Amino acid sequence: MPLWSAILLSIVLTAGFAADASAQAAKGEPVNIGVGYFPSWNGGWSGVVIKKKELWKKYLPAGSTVRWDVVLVGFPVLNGLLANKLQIGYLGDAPAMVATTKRETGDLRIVSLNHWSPGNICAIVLVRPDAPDLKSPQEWLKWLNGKTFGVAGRASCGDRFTSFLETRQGVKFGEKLYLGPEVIKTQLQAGKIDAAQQFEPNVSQIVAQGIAKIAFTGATWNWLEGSALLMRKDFIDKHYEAAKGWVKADLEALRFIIDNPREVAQMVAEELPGWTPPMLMTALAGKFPPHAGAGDVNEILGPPFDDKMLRYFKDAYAFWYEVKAVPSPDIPEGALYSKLLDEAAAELGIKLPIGVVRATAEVKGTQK
Amino acid sequence: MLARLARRLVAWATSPATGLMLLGFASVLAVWHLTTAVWRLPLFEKITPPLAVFREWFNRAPAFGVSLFTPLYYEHIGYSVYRAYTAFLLAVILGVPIGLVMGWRRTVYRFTFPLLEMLRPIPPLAWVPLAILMLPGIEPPVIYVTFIAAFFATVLNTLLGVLSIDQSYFRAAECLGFSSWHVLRHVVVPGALPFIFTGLQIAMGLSWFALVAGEMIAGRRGLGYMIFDAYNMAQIPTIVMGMLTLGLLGWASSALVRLLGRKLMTWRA
Repeated sequence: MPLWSAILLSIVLTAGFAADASAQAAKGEPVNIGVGYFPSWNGGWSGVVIKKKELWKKYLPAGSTVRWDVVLVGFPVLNGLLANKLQIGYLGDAPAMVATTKRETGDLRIVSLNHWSPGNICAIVLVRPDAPDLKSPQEWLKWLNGKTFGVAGRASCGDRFTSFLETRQGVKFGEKLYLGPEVIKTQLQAGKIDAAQQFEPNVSQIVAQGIAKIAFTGATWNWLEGSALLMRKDFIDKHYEAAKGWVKADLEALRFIIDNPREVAQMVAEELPGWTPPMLMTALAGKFPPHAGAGDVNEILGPPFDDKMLRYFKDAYAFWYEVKAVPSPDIPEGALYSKLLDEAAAELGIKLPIGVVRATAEVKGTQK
Repeated sequence: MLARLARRLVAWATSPATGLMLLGFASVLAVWHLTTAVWRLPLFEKITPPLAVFREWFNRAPAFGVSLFTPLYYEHIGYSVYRAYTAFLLAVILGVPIGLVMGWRRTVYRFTFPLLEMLRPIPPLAWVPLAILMLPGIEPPVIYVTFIAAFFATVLNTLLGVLSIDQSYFRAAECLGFSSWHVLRHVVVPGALPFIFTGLQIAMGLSWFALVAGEMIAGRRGLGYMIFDAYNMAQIPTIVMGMLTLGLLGWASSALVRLLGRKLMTWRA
């Protein structure tokens, strides 16, 4: 897309979001809801923007209240949604899809895969700092044979990617360990694992601290991964307009992330001790080193539920079934609840996807 | 021999104590079933009913990949038993002598007791980062985190055991011209033994208790890892299955320590 048309589109979209607030607010009775996200995952950042800029006030019925549950990792959000302590949650693609299969406990629906990436937010492979400086992902794949490798959780986005490396690219790890993201960091620091998969913004922090360096990302193989916005079905049914209002707020937040990445990095840093705004800026829009094969698109925000996305969901559910994370290889009926996103985008007069986060900032790991 | 064993088994099965024990288990299961499956009370409605847990546990093709019929279940048990018992044995080997010396020698007590009291309340989970950085390999940090809880219980109970010995025994030993070695062998150790075995039972329980924290860094195997992994995926039947397995193994381990204690302290009977 030429630069001038991108600028024009951006102005049009911003003008659309800036329309009269009272005209956008959802009709109906006020809602009192709980919303959960974890800022230590890029996929939770539209939640940060909605909270900090109070966008929910613009789109929820007047008099509504929001109780924010900001946590360190994803599973409290999943459990909060299932227990009806939260009505809306932001989760990585893996727990989000798993969540849609727990209908006996809580009926949860993916209303938007608001962050999508060609393998540049989760399928990122780090290696210990004293590993050789190799020139391409293919050379790294050979190097990984026989190495002790850490994955940030079983049946996670990282597990799906590393299983792909094993089954399709022929990598034979010496040992594959499923560890929490913070344990991976300590294990790399102690030199007990040779390499690991990690997700952003952990990657930018670990690399900036000199604990590891980036080897390659999933972009070489046109990998697809994402993060989802989930809602309880009973909440959608009871407060349909409010649910749609939240999706609108999320779309506006996504636009804000594209237009104001440095401001977003500052907002997230306020919620995430241990990360600095420059570090978070590279987590969002930083360049990967040339040998990583990452390309220049870090994220696609607010993509539509199209055929390409449906294929991605089918593949992902089949994998979660293979590793016994879900009881069936098929997408549960209604798990992808696209209606809210379609209607919200139509009412805001915007075309999906919202836009792309390009790798235009400093190189990841160079900002402390 | 076999007939004697059979007689003892029948006596055990028909004893009032066994009946009460079974009644206790049955009551818990009944309450669990009624609150989660029949009445579906507000606080319990999201808890998996016992039948669903047992269906998964005894399933030849379990939905979440682990049951009595899968080798993975026994792999988890094997690793957990190995880790819990290694941690417990290390706690005994190091904790009992330290506790004995602390209780027996006043200078050692003054030197070490405040340190012990400061380190003892630190939860095993807090040791995780240091354990990873300090110890080599993947297994030693897991065992260390499990060991640390058992160690302090062993030291403290052994220490209390020595302090509980009547001072007149020490004076009598002195009058009889006992050497330090003989005092240790004939007064300190036997005098402290009841407390030591109480401590070992607690330590055994604590080893299993701390195992879940330790196995968070195990990365692949063990009941603690299985529970944590199932928690990540909201697989409640597998979580409960792991909890019950841990409970049963902990119970059996404590019974083993009690049996050993009875054998070694026949003089108390």
